Amino acid sequence: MSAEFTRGQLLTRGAALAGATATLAAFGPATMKAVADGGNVDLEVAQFALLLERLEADYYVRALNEVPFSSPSARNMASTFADSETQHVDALEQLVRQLSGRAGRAPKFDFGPALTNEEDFVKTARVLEDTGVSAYNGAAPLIENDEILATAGQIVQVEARHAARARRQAGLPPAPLAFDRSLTMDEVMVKVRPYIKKR
Amino acid sequence: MSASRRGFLAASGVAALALAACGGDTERETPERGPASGDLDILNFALVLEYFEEDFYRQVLENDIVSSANRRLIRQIHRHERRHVAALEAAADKLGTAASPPQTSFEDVFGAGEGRTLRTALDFENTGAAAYLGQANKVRSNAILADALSIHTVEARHAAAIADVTGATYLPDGAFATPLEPPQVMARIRPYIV
Repeated sequence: MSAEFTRGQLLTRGAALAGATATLAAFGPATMKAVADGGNVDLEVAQFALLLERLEADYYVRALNEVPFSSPSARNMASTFADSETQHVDALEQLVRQLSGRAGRAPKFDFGPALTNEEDFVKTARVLEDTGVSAYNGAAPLIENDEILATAGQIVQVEARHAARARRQAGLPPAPLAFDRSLTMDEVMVKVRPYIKKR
Repeated sequence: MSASRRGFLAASGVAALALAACGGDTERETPERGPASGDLDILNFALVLEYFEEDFYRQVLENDIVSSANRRLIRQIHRHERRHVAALEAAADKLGTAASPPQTSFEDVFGAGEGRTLRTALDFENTGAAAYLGQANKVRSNAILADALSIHTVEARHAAAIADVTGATYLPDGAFATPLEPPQVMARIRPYIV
């Protein structure tokens, strides 16, 4: 136990904040300032989660219009995921505002050829959901507020259920590992950035 | 800093339930109700659930209850539960004493056939995922929280996978999963504890 840090102590560690600040470049000056002022890490995690959920929601909503589905099962998946991710976006926008942050507008996303056919749609859905699980699992221990941590848990469990569903749709084992991997926010941003349209 | 994170954890109920479930010594000494012992209680609560699940799947496989189509999935889930047990035992031993495995009886379930067995598995996985969700924000150590989260989402994947093969919904709570508190969790598994 002595070698471990409590969650409060972890937040004061330089590494966590340095990583957080680097990630914030994606979110604009208001959040940057919050962290510079001594850190509102919960707001930063909420902004990060909001970006991921907006990306996912946009992907599935557009898929319903654009992907030429032949399998009802794949189409149902897109429809169910669009519904859950839209609810996650709403909840996180509300949370960001509660934390005195600005939700702003969603960036424009570019999914390349992923929405042009069903197979690529499913492959990218699988990647997005597995990444979402690792993103929440990596960011959650940074959260200070217990209620926000509980909400993150409620969402990540649904992301994990999506991931299993998407993996089965892709013909992959639904739960490949005994322990899901976690990714740092920086690692996630590297994966997400290619989907964000340059202005 | 969140005050509640640092406050006392009202986890005595968790420990008592976990111990009662394994027929263990409920008069165990609990000299300190500090954060470390709160985390130990949570670890032992999770460990009892993992013992229970591991035991269930082991018996499903030994008794050849599921058809070959589902056997691969069950075997994979069983392997995961075994690794969860090992990880939680090690973590609990570091903080104190790990709980012992409960004595189980699944004869009625197995006797009713594969369909009932898979529906029961689904119930256990949904319960397990909800149990982890209920404890996550009560964990004090970040290392233990990270481990618990990495198991939580695997339990959720198991639930979704079994839901898929049984034709049940993989999102039983909709877009936000519902946590369960220890008494609700124990009520669901108690019928199978002897």
